[in-house]
Amino acid sequence: MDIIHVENLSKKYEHFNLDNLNLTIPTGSVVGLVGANGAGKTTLIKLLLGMIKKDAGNIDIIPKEEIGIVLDDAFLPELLKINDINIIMKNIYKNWDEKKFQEYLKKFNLINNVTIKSLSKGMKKKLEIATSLSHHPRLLILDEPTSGLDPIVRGEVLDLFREFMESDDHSILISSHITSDLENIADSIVLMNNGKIILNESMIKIMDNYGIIHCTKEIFEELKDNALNYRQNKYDYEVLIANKKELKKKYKELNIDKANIDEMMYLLVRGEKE
Amino acid sequence: MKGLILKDLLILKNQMRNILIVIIGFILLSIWMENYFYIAFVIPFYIVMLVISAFSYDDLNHANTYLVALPTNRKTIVKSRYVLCVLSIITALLIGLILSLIIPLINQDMDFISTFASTTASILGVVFVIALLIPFFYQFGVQKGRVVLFIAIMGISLLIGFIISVFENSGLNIASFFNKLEKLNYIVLILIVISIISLILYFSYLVSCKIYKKKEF
Repeated sequence: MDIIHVENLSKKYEHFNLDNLNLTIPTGSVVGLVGANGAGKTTLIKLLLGMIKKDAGNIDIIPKEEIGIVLDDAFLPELLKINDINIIMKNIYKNWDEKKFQEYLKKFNLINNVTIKSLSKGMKKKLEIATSLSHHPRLLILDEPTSGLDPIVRGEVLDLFREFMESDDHSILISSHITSDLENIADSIVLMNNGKIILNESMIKIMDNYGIIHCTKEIFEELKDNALNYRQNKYDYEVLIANKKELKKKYKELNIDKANIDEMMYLLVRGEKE
Repeated sequence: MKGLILKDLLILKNQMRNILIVIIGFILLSIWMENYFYIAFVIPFYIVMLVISAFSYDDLNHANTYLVALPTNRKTIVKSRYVLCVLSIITALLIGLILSLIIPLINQDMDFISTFASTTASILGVVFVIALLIPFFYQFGVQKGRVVLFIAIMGISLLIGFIISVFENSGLNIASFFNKLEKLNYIVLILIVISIISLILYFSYLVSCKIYKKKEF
């Protein structure tokens, strides 16, 4: 069963197009959405949530009632108190769980009687996350949920997401610039660039098969056909490959580094391969 | 819809201290000026204007972006705002009614009917402005909406001026028309006013729905 199924999705803007996107998110998986600013991540999320209208294509997604959301820069008005959110959401989500919400507040040290305005950026994000989890959603759609949070809080938040994933029928779509967070939690990575998906790969395959080789020009010429992409530096070449085991067998001396998402992203987006 | 209306009411509740300070300020001002007409006029006006502040708070925190992603439909979001508007009109009318009952007791120069009529007229005026404003707010946002509305009002005033001048030149007497209106029964007049308010608001609601449904967040 898929929780999100997107087919040939397109959205045209004056200076940017989301172009013929295909994406499937199976139930029970955590998908990390990465890409440079303006790559189309937020546009994709907005299309999924019906905040903007598609120009073409199909979107299959579970009802909004079952989706928990954290948006990058939008929440309820700041003049509301934390307890007001409970009163409002009780009347918006059929499954709103007051007790659960209070539990999260306690966990995050959020006090009921203060306005959202008086919270720090990190506390505010925690409140948004608590709100997104308190109506028993099956799917979380999170746009930059950990931005602006310190490493300790980020750890707490990631633990919450892991806890959420303990149920088999739960899924998460999470966009983030903090790719180390995704490496910790995601089952697969979707990399977007200029409105297109340029990589959609499981985390296991990334770990097992992908690698980065730093080498001389001579070795690069030999490896060239294996390169997904590469970059010529001042003193060496940096080559991204997706057949680590094969190359390891062939070139025993070759040193292949683990490819982290940031480096992969950089090479795939900014690499020199035509 | 209940959740959405509660959202606005709770914000107003949290602002209650400021709202009360303004209202007390108005009362003191009118006592100082010895002009009781002033409170009967300005307090109901202020209460209806509070609807506008609800738009500002939403804009400030991109609340609409969040709301459309929740399990409510767009029509409901617009509808709840108009319900808030109607609630504030009713509150304003009630306060106007109470003031119109009290003021003649303090000031013998004023009677109930004329005070209440002027309150109603003031509310009608502000509802008319709000009914115009809301679609502009939905289309352009609060900041730009105000500017566009200002231009629109200038345009409408010029148009009305033009129409009146055409009428005057054609020899019809507008003043006598308004004099005739005054002779109507007050109850009939109030009923006419309520019908006009309802019609204007309903039309404004339809336009806002159309705008909001198309809007991208």
